[in-house]
Amino acid sequence: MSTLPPLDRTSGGAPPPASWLAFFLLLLVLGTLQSTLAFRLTFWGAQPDFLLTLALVAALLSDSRTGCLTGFAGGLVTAALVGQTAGTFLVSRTVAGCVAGALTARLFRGNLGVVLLVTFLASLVAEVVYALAAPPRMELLEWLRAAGVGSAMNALLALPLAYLLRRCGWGRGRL
Amino acid sequence: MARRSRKKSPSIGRSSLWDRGAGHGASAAAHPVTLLIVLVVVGIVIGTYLGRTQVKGREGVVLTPVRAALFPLQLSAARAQQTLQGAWDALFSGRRLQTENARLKAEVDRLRQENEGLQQKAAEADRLRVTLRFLEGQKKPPLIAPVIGWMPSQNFESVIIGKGSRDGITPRTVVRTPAGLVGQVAEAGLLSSQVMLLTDTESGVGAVVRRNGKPQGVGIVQGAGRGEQLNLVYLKREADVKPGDLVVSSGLGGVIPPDIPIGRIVTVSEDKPRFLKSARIEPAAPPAGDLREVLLLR
Repeated sequence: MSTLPPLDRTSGGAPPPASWLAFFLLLLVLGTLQSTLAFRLTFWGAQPDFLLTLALVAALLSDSRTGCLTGFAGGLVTAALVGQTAGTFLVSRTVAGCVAGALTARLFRGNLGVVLLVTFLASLVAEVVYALAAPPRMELLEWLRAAGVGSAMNALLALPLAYLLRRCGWGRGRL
Repeated sequence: MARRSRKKSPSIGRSSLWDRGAGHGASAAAHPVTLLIVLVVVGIVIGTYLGRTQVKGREGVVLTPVRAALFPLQLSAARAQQTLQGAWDALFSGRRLQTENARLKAEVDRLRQENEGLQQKAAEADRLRVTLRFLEGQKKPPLIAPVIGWMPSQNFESVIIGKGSRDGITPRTVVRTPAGLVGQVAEAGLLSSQVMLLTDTESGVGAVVRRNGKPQGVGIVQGAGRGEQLNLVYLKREADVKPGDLVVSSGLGGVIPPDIPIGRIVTVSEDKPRFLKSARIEPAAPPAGDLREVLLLR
């Protein structure tokens, strides 16, 4: 389509340094919640991934470059918690963050529905990349169900996190 | 108008998927891709390095500061969770007391608060009493470790314990409760360690089936995922195995000591084409979500 409205280049982009401090603090808090609370929210073999969602929402409110960095940071904390397949977590979360940042440059129109959609899609990307590098020991349908339900949970979680990150100075004007 | 908008935004048609921040030209188009490639390569290098250090039984330097930052938060969160659980249980019993003793409301409120603290302490004391009784029967006392994290990823069945390499924990350290086998340490950090549970699909333990103390069959216990019973596979077809039989560790392999309870057989099925039997086992150890302390065999 050659008649897409021009991108809003006055909003989004890398956040100010103070906002990065808030992001890293949130990363620690959500990392703690991931290890103490997430398993209680298991449904159909899936549980929410607070760290991935935070990285994706930060990417949504900035750009693909920042998304690469937030994805990498989220993958690093996840790897610290899980202790296995660290490289796979790092790569899958970095790719997902980049994709989320890139999608938002193309799709984002200040619509909260886009936040849900992009988080869902980027979460799926993370699951697919992870599965390609570290194939899970389960049936394909079972994996698809867990990946889909997990991504849906992340999408729902994205809305309050997006509000929280905006309050911390991320993506002013994006929402 | 369309021509003007094309000139203002020349990048939309060609490579609009990549955000170029504040409207820079095509020279900045490669930056996100370059950064992505660099971070992916760094991620692979870090993963390879961590994999090698894990094999050698050491914690990778990269993860040490992250875990050190998380450790106090995880300890506090685990304790807060126990407190909230005790208060939640006491609240319902307190409400029943309040209804029954309306005229003595002030006294009931005081008793409820005291009861909350006592119930919490009593539950903890009961749990520790069972552990102490078990420890007194051991020749070499195991190390007690608090559980500070549970299943952080849906891809793995694991818990995080508040003991690490500074406490003498190494990978493959056996983890159990007085009731039975829990799993093994997968990675030992400086302050905390990750324990792979028996229920993890990557887990496999040599086992013996016993009835009245006599061995009835030998097989491998494999995990089947969260919330599932364990699988006992590779039993010989002629093995006399029945529901209710006790399954214990065989000690073969030299890592897990023998005779640690794993669980009880629930169902038995035959794999006739392969002349084998398999069984489903109800684990002896509590569910992972209920673990508060575990024992590490040194």
